[in-house]
Amino acid sequence: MTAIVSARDVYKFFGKGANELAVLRGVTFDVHEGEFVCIMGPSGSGKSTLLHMLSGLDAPSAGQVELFGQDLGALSHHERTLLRRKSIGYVFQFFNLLPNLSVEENVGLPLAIQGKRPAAERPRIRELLERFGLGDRGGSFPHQLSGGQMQHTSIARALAGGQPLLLCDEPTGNLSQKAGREVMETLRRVCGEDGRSVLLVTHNPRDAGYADRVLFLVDGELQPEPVLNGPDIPVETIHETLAALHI
Amino acid sequence: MSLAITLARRSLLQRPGRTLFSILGVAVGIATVVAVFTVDHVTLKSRTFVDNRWKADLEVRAGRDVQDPRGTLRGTEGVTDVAAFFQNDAMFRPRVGPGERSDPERVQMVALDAGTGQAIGAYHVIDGADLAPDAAENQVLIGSGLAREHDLKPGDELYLSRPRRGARKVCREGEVQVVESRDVPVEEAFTIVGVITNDGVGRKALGRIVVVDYQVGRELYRGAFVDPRFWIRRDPNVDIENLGASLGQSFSYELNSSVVVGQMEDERAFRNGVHLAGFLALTLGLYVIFHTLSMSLRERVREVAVLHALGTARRQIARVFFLEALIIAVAAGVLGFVGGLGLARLLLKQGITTLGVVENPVNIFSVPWTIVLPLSLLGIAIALLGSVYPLMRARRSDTVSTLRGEDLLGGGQASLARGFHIFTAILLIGVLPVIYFSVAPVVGAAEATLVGPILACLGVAALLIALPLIVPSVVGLVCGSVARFFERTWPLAGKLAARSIEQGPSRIAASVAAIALVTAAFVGLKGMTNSLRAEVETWGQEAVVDKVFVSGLPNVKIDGITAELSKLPEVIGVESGDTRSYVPFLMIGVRPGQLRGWGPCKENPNLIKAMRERQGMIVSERLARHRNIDVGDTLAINTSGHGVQTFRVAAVTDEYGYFTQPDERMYGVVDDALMDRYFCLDATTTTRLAVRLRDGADPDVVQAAIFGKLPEGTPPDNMRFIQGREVLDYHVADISRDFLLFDIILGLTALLAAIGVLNGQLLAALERAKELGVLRALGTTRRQVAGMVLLESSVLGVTGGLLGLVFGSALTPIVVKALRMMSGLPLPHRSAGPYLAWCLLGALVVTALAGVYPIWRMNRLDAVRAVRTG
Repeated sequence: MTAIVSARDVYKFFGKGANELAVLRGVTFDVHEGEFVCIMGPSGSGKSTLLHMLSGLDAPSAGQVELFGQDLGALSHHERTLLRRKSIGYVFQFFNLLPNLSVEENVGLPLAIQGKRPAAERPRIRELLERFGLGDRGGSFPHQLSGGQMQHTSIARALAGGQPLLLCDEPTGNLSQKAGREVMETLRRVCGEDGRSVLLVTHNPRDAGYADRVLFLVDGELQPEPVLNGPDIPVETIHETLAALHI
Repeated sequence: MSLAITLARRSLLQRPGRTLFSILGVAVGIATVVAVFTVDHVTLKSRTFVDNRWKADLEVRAGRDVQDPRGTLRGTEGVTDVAAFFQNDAMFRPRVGPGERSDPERVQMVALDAGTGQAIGAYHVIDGADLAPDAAENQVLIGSGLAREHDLKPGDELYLSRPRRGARKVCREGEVQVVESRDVPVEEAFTIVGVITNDGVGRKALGRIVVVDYQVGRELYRGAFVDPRFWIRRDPNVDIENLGASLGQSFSYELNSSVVVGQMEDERAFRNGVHLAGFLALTLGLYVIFHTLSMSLRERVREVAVLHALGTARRQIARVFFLEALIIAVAAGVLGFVGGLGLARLLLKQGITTLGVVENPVNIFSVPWTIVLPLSLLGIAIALLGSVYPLMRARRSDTVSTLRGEDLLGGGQASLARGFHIFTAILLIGVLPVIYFSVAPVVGAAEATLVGPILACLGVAALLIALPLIVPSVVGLVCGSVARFFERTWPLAGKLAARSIEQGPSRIAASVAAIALVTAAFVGLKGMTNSLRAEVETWGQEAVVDKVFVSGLPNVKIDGITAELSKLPEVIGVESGDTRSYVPFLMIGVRPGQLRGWGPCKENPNLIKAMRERQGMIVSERLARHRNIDVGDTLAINTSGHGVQTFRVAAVTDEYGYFTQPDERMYGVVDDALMDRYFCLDATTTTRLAVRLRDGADPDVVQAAIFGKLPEGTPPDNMRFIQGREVLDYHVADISRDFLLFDIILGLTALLAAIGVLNGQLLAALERAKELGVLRALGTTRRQVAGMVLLESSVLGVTGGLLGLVFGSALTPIVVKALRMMSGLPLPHRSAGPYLAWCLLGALVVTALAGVYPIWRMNRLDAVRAVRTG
């Protein structure tokens, strides 16, 4: 399989001198086309920072990140933005829907960013809304939705642009168990469609169980072992692994 | 582009309050400046003859040897046009019903070439038409005072004649001859073609004035002495000094025509002040939009970060903000332009002009497209420019930090505020003065000297803008401390208001600065009008208070009536008012002995001797300033039949010589025997008097005494007794009326400041929506929320108001100095006085009112939504 994300010996430091803090330390891993990869770790382990490096929002202090074969370090800010626009759909823990836009407009946002005409893309957006059970909420605004509906809107937005990679940052962290389960089932479902890959960072063992491969990040270091392979990894197995890693 | 359209449209529609008040902020600023320049344009246009637009550069009087002065002037190189005029008294009688006859009244008359009066700015026809140059009938323009008094309007008829005199002497060929027959002036019927406003010559004699064609006036005064003069238009390519030298061989001349046209220097000062106030409004309007856009950026920085994370390029984000600013600016520009024209029309309909308030509505309307259109575009451009800075900061925002919920804008909020204020200060200090002087060019040396004071005013204004830049934390700390002081009384409101203030010192400091700016402007204006009032009061105490002005007497013997009045213990002197001529200033003859009871003549009896024996003249303060003369200086006066006579200035005072008609403050007082000798004027009878009373005397005794003296004890219907206090009150009230436009403009700037405060509070409330939601969820009542906002508003109002009082008090001497330089008036320095308290109260009320909408908005906040989504 082709590696669409490739991190090589990635370091990230914050602060300077005595206050310098290493958030990521020599992280190396790949994500392949159609793969659902989960990176687990406790709060503060560097999960979100890693996502920022992979998406090109932030630059590593050292090491190399390749996205779809392109070295992000060699690209300008604008080129990284264009690559992100083309390649990555983002799902946030706090949804980050634009409050002024309706559900339909939020979902259509990546298309608008790509310069496509909303009217022409409307059938596609409607189809996505129907698929995520939001068919009757297109005209609603984010504050009128439940948490689960907001996150489904967020996922629909991440898929609308047709990007092959979904980066999901604690997507169920702000949801009820039931809503969280629905969201994860959705992510599991979309993975593999059209060769789409999902990279999930979470501290929730239940969410990790949906992944094809689970990696563990502890204090900024990606543990070479164990690597759990799924899907349908039992939650108990994950708990045991976490315990073994003293997390 | 669809992304920008979608986001901008949604942003504007989903925040209707913010959108509305942002648009209003710029619109009110643009509307004010558009209205100011439109009103000014119409004011000038209404005083200018469109087809023959010119102003008199020189006023000349022909020498005795000039046979054809008009022809000679026209033949002089550098003279392009000539208009003849003279002014004198006339007897006026309105036309009444068949078989009835009205009593004649004395009014002021100006005769000048028909059709040129508006061109030289002498008067302004407010109703009807100007005098037609070749009219078959006798036409007349009347002053607004006369029109109001007799309910006259265009189309009505009236009768005019020259005043009847005792006429034992007449002046023929400059020689005094005794004529046996009685003088019977011819009375002519005139048709009123227009009513003139109470500015220019229309202001004379409290509006009791008539204007006729020069030739018609000469006919009316046939056989009597008149002092004809000419206004000439100069070829702009000919140096005025050279022209003066050419004319000087045959003509006496003086620059500018302020003697008749009015106080041009005052008018220029007034118009400049209005322009400046208009620019202040525009500045404040732009300040509001800068502030709003800047705060709006902080509110939306998370949105920017999300967009960036989703792959939105910086250029796209910039486009969103630019489009939003463009929509606001264009909408505001259109609204401001249309609103400004509407406001101008409304002001003109109320008779409010840039040269003071006139009695009748100004019905003509014309748009100075070449000024107001660029000004509106300028407002739009600067509003857009105001969006550039937040836009640049939005592009620089750190997406990762924002998504983490950390420092919103890289450099932080303080940095954003600092940059915003530096940007505003540069704009204010650098760009706006340049624009001001481009639109209102400096003309003449007098106005060139104003550049310093105007820049000083802008410096004070810039200081106010810079205040939030330099010491926002100090302002925040002061306001926070004031709010905390109220914690004892209102624990929750005090605590929350203090927290809110301390969390946003830049916002607070900007709002305080806006309030302070307006308060300072009001304090400066009130200080200036107080100075003007003080000047009038000082003049009035000398010239009119303790006097009773009597007019409409049936040509009584001066000695007889004076003797009768002098018997009254309350009377200490009597001045007669008919012996007078324009030379070209007003020269009045009085009985010198009557002046010994008060003023300089009481202190120095030699003055009376000087008047009688050495052609001494007592000149008014204004004439002394205008001619730059002092005691001991001489004045060469061209007389009728005795050539040029030299008068020596015996004293400079306003104590003597003022009469309500012609209400002239630039005059000289001489022995009336000299008026008889040099101008053949009857110095034995009079129709008007000024009676000087002792301090605190009852003015009614004059009326009773005069009524007792008249034959059969029946006073003529048109006899008038005006107390000096009434005259002074009229002049003082005139200042308030004239400065009404300033009050209106500053009222609009107060509205702008209120919008600024409102926007600040509204955006702060939206920023704190989650906090408010939690508070509401915890049981905070709407009244408590309202109390918190009101307390915060009031603290802003009091702090801004107090700061404004300090800055305004510092500004007042600069403004007064500028006005003194332009007008030549001896303006004393006065503070705003009781207005200081009113200004402070006004600041408090304005900010409290500005809090109403945020209160309403905050109380409409859905607590559940706020808690869930922030």
